[in-house]
Amino acid sequence: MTGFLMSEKLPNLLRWGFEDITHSVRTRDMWLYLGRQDIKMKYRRSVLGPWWYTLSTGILVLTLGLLWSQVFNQPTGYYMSYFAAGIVTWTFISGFITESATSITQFEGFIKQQHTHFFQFVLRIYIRHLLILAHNFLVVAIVFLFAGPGVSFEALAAIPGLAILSLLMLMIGAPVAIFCTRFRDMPQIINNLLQVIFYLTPIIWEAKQIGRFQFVSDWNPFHAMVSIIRKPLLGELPAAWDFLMIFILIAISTLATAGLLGKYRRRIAYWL
Amino acid sequence: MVSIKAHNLSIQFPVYNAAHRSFRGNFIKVATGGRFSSDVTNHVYINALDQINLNIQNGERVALLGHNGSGKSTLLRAIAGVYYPTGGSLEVEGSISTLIDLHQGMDAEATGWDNIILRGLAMGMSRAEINGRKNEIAEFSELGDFLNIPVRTYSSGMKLRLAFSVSTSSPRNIVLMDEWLSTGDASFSEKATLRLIDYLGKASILVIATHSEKLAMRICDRIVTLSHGKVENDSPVISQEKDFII
Repeated sequence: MTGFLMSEKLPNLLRWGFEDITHSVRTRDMWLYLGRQDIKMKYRRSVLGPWWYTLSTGILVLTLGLLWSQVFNQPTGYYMSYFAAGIVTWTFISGFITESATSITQFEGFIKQQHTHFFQFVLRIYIRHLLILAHNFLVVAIVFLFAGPGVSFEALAAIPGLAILSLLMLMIGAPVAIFCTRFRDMPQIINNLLQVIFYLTPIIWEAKQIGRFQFVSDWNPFHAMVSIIRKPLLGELPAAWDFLMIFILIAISTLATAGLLGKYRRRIAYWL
Repeated sequence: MVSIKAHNLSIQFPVYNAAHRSFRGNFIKVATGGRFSSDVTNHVYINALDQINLNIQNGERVALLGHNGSGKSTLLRAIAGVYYPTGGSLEVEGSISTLIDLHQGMDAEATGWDNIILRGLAMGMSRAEINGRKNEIAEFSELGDFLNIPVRTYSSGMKLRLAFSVSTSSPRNIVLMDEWLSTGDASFSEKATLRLIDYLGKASILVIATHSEKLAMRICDRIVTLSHGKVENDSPVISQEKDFII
């Protein structure tokens, strides 16, 4: 027998927030299928389908990689690998955060039909972007094999890196989704911020190139997020500093996610 | 025991406009020390439900009557678990089926088969459960080969058939309806009515919001009349000639 008791009294916020998360995770049939379905739908009548992601990223990496390796006076093979790994990881992070912004509002019809747990929408968006990452990763693989350092043993460290990065992204996605549902100017603000952060994060350029201003990228959490994937791929283990920063962010954002869900999950349907 | 218990249940909707939903409003409030707060973030509220006390027990069929805006649909959605009470409490025991707005939740670009899965998942079924039921659903919908093509090519009657077939495929304890369903052409409508009666027969509680007192008298044994979000009248139906064919 299922059921619920809802009252005006607030339950323990964090526990209630975690209840939303664990319940959402358990309905994996739902978000796994829907995340895949979203990609399938987007390219339903196209011949290349999701391989368009691979193709457009490939063209971007090839042209801009060649151009900037000349501008920055860097060895082409190395720079292309650096740029490919960075831009693909960045697309994963920023694409997910951008779409998290509308992850609740776009399912208004669904939410007004039945009792819902909200974290599942963030998981659905995450699956979408994990699939896009998988398609884009082919570009990284090709560049590394033909132009770059090849595959090193250290590259395996990118796998746990991806797991840690994913956890952090999910915990950032939920607060973003809640804020953007309540304040409808937020998606634009986040979009603009991400554009600026892209240029402030060492993706096109390298941290060592800015000399005494390197502290800017040292303290940039997005740099750490990109690094725990990019560094292992380039054959270098991520620094302890990167991990430390990410674990602290995971702790803070998990608390924020649980707290916000606990406090506001009862209000979200009213905001739609 | 399947039941619905509302105790002083109130639901208050905030009415937002662009100023309320933007950061600017809150920011100006902070920046000006609250002086302009009444202009910028003065929220307007609507009391959709006002201290409702309602106790629905196993076996009851309840009709909600009332004018437009009396709170019928809001009460249904509150029982469905969409809106949390802003006052009082609501306790629901039993699994819920909402036949509230069958047009919602269809993906026009996806095929009929995909939409069976989508709606099944939305109802809380697992993939395995949907796979077990999907042939029965397809057969009942009588859509045949249409199930292989995108739903956007369907007529509205065909869409409704599909949604109805999925929604009534898995029995639930509590059924919530917004008006009696009318589904497409005469032959299917008759078949759908029989299935709906069978479906409701398996459920323990029916709550239906309707404008038709005649319908309420015919299929329900209790009528709750709402007015301005309050229970105006709550009485059993005495005449007992039950007849579902509408």
